[in-house]
Amino acid sequence: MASPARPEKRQGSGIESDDRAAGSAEPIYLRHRYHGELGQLLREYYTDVLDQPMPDRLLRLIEQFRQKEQNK
Amino acid sequence: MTEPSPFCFADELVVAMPSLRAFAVALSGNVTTANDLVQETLLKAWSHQNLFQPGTNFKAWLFTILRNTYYSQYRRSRREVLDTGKIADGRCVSPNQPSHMDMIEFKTALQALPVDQREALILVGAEGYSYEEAASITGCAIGTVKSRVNRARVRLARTLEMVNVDELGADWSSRAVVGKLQR
Repeated sequence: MASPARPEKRQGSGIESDDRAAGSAEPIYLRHRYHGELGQLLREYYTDVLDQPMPDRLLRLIEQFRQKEQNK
Repeated sequence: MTEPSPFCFADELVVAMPSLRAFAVALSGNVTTANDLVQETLLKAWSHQNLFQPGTNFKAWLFTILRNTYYSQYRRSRREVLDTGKIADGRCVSPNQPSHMDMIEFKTALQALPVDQREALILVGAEGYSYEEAASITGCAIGTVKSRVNRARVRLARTLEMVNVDELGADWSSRAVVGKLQR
């Protein structure tokens, strides 16, 4: 089975301030802030979990869903 | 002009599964529990797919289901087991790599965070959700999410003895918080 698509990486080097968005209708984003050592560890940790293979029981469940969709 | 492809529920579940599982691992601290959580989430999503509003964020909808399942069942029944060793040592880095110990320490520190702070940090810092999106998923105010993220980062920095504020990659408000702590 093909590996499922992974979420886009959100790495960046800029620091976006909360304050910049204050008073703005724009959503406040934290994206691209985590560029320090802590951010790197967090990304490494999360990427590792994302990359772990899916257990068979979950893949089988999806297959059952697919069959049900096809039988509709 | 091509028409948008029809929404295939099972396909969308497959796409979201790795993130769901990663979030479940971060929440529960246990791989087996995380797999159970994802399985229940998939089943609930499938049986309630009529409740999903097309055009809205499907993955965020799944995250909400998973989170609610965790809080209503797993955490209450105290099935949460901190099994950082198994998770931590899974596949992250080879023991020979210099960063191996750093990662083990990081995972231990992450799992030691209060779960509300941990989930906020994962949603915003790892999944890349905005404060607003994370607030929607967790059912709390944006300010609460911001506060939890900041507290999580400060606590991690303390635990990991990151004295330099820059190591946090912090925003202005986090710098202010850390600055107060360092005085």
